[in-house]
Amino acid sequence: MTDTLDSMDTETEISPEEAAFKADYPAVTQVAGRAIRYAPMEAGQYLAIQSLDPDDEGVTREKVTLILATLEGCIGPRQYQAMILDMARKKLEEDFPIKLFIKIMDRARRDVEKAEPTP
Amino acid sequence: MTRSPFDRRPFQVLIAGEEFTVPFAPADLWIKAATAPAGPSGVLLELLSGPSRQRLALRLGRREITAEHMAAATREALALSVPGSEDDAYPWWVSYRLLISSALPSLAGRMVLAGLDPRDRTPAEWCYAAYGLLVQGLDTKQRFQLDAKLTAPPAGVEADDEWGEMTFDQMVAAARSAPGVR
Repeated sequence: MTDTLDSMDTETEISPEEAAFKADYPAVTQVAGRAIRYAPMEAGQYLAIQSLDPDDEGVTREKVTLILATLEGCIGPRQYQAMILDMARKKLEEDFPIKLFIKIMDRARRDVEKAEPTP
Repeated sequence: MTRSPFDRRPFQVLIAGEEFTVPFAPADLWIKAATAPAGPSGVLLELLSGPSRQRLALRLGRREITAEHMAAATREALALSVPGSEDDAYPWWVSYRLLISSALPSLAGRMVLAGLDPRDRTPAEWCYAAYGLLVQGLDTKQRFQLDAKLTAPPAGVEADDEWGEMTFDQMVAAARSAPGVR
């Protein structure tokens, strides 16, 4: 059975598989009322996103592809595919991925700022 | 593989098992890459372009390539692009520090006054010239102090270990320890 984000939200028993899933994706955020587990952005992912030039050509296919690839890297293929499925079923708005990405990116920025040495 | 400091051909670096071709970049692009907000591990992303850059960025996004992979590849690229000799070693951190220092007003001004244009120079030519200008007029003690600061291995790197086991954070620290950089 294919997971949807709804079914993941309501599971109450923790299997070893789910325990491993939670360990791999330890952080949780809420977007549009949905709880999503994610692994905070790694330095390499942050590097890739920083390489996007916001003033260069606006929104391009390459930028969208990179953002989605990074998002999948953070939430994992299972939640990513479930998100795509829910969007196809109109259970999620089209802007859900970018809203989720923004939350994960904001966390990454805060983590980078915390790690910066004080002057 | 040892390259000539005047070599303007592209070269290959291995990043997480995949070979990427780095096109020739004059010194100004190396300086831009080294001083970009992403820091030292972002150097290759700045130097690559087109499909190679997109492929690298995607693999980073998917966590197939990590910042540590990038740091290692940057070290390799710097060592290839700014080679030393048996008598005059140029560890990658020396080149990196010289590139960053040469973007600072005092040294940049001296290099311009010396008639040097980073758009016309290989990164090796530029780093060698930057060092030459830095030591001009220094007495023995001052030169020793400069050399010590320039050549001191960053934290986590042994002096005789050309490659080291630098992590992403250690490379950031190395960048911040460049002469003239706070």
